[in-house]
Amino acid sequence: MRPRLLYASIGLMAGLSNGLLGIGGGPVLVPALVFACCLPEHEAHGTAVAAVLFTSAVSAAVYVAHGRLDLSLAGQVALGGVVGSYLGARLMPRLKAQVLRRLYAAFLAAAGLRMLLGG
Amino acid sequence: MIILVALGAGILTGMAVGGGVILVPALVLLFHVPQHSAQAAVLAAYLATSTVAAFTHRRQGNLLGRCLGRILLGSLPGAFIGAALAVRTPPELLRRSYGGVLIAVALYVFLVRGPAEGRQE
Repeated sequence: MRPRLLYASIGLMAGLSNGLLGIGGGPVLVPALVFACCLPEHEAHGTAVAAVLFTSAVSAAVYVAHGRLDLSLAGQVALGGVVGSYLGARLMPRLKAQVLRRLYAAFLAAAGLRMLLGG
Repeated sequence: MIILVALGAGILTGMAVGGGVILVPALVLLFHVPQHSAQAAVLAAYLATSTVAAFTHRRQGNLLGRCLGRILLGSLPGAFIGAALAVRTPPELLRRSYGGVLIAVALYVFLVRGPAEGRQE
């Protein structure tokens, strides 16, 4: 597959899921870039962050245009997120990845079930 | 209160496990935020949290411009279409779909070794 088509296809899927559900960032894009496009991991990660940045801007703009964005909510989320990311980057060397992933998966599964089945 | 949850999600993001999928369920399930608002807030907040990271990556030379352009060729229209679909989707259906995807992501994280293992800087 021609490089441009491959990247664009991966981008398309990431963009669709980003717009539709707000998911489709690093954890999806980075492995795709590493395995399909053979990018080194650091560069895949760096490029993915920028890609999701611009992509999220488009998604967010559509939500805003339809009046779905609560600025105050977004502000609180942004504030917590900025501080949290900084802390998280500092904490990263200290926690066992394996444990974290299991907890993470457990939470996602529980939350997913609640959201799927709740009414 | 919401700030605390966002803090937690931010920490997880800083550890490269992805915070948005924690935040949206938390907002919807704990704070009863409507599904669309939760998704929109997380997307908008991501712009703030990732801008600094993007510049850092660029300075470190990890941002490949040509690759980025090609990805955006697909992802920008994709985002537009996806978001346009989302705002026209009833909240309950969107929430259930989100839940289904979360379960799939949970299985993936549980069963597959992810990129986090490689990030031992």
